[in-house]
Amino acid sequence: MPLLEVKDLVVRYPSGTIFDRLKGAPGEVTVLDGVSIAVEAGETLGLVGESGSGKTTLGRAIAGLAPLSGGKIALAGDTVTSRRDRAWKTLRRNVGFMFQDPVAALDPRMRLSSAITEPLAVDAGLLHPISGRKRRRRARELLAEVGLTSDFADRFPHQVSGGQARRVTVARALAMRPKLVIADEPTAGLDLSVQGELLNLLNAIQAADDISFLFITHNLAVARHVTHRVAVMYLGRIVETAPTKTLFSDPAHPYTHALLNAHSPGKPATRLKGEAPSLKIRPTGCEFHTRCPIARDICRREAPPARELGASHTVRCHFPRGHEDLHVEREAKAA
Amino acid sequence: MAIAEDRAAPPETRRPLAESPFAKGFQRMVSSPQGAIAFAVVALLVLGAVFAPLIAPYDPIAIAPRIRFEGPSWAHLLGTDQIGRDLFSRVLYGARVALKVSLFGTTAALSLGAMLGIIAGLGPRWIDSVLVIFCDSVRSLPMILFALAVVAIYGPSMNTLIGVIAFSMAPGYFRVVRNQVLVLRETDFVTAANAMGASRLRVALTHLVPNLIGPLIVLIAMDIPAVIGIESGLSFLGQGIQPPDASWGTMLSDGYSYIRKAPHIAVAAGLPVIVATVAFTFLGEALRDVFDPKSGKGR
Repeated sequence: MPLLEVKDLVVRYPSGTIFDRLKGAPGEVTVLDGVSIAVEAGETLGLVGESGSGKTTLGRAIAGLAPLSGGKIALAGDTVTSRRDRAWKTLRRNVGFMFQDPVAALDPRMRLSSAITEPLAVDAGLLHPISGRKRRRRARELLAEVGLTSDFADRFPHQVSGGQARRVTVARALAMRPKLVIADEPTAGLDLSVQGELLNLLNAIQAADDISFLFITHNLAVARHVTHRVAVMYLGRIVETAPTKTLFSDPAHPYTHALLNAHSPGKPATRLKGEAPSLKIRPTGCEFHTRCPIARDICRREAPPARELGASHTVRCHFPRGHEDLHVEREAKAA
Repeated sequence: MAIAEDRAAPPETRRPLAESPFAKGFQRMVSSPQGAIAFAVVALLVLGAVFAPLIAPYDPIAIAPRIRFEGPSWAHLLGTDQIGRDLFSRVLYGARVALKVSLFGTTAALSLGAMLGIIAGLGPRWIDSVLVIFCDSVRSLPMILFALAVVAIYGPSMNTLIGVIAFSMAPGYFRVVRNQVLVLRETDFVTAANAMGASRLRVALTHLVPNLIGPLIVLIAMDIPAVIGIESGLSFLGQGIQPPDASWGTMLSDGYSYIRKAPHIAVAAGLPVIVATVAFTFLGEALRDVFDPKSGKGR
């Protein structure tokens, strides 16, 4: 059984004013539309895609921070909901969350020692506070784990650099010894050498504690470096999932192909036409057909099902690259 | 690995960490001349008020018919009023009244406003709407007229005065706290606390209150002049502190009656009001510079 299993997850947010709704505009935005992923224990799953593809929302949903309109999230067999009951609290111990902006994720008026040990204090409850001394000692241990000296414990967030703040949020995510850490753009805003250090740190942590990572990033080079498998998102759907090596050498979805091309210098970039469509008025059939270079009639009519192309390589496309014959086969079968 | 070595803090950033943020903030507050003078004047006022019974050379309500309308002299620093009371002593006791009303009035207003503000900011939408409408209605009342109406019902006394001030100033604090809470609750650090499973009470205590203290201290310092003004105004109108008790307002009222014969009475009563108002306003501005990160000096 995988550590984390997300099945047909749907997240919708209400949108627009009551007047918009009266005029017939859709009253909600579908940010995630039937997303299914699985993360094994000790695995790093990369989640890549453009801004607005729903990467962050998926991460938040797993952390119990988004309203679930459908589908199921299970962590080690327990269902995650946004309802705050006892089960929700035990789940919190097993999930660490790292926000995109490490400085914003730290309270400007809270010393780092308190910030790092906040998960412990929350878990202990308001009625059973942990002594400040104990918290500082634990904070120093956690700081050491992420390679920061113990004098950081008494600092405030504005007294550390972006890279150091990032390490602090790593320490906080690890405080409860979680089984899964959701890292939202952990390398954003860091220069390359600091990025490298951070990725090495995350790798070392994973090796030591067998923690699973859900690694959300738009940086393909980073995804290639640290992940075991990659899921590509487009407009609230997973369009392709594959082992990292396969995905980079042999992308099957035209969107993945375009993403990789856009990032590899030298090759002529096959530019995607136009912008990603609005989440409010989603395209019919395959979401990607409005920008797809190989779209045909069927793409406008029918949403492609998820297809297994090989060992844990799944794609949602009628005409996956290198497997164009699949469609012909299917048509033949239908006829 | 190679990670740990270059993470050590540069030595010059280490030292100031030992100082508390309050000490640093205080240093910055008194670093400007206005801030330093304002702080000194406010400190003098507070000391004068607290130790009035020790400092005051005469009983503030002792009548001495022989020395009526005396001008300032070494025996009576600010002179005497129409029934021979020592004005300097009365100013000191008046400061006691003014600061007492300010302290209790703003504290009560702050507690009430902040509590409702946090409830409105964190609670369900309908509670927020009800509280906002209620507080906006209170804010729309002309304060002096409202105060006069309440005094007419409950009779003039210091407690009525504090009650009126608490009630009519609470909506100001409510508004600031509520808006701040609405901003704070969308920040990543509050979301992070939510993701950890923190209760609303914990979020309020550990994240909201510490981030609200700064703006609120500034607001209090800025509001104290207004409270002093209300206290003096109501006392001047005979609806606040009652004679023979000393209050800057009742003294002003005496001075007003005899302004042609003995202008020093009005001056002795009016100056402290002006000085206190200006000092607290400047103190508020100095505090704002300390707490407001946008003031340019950085934290």
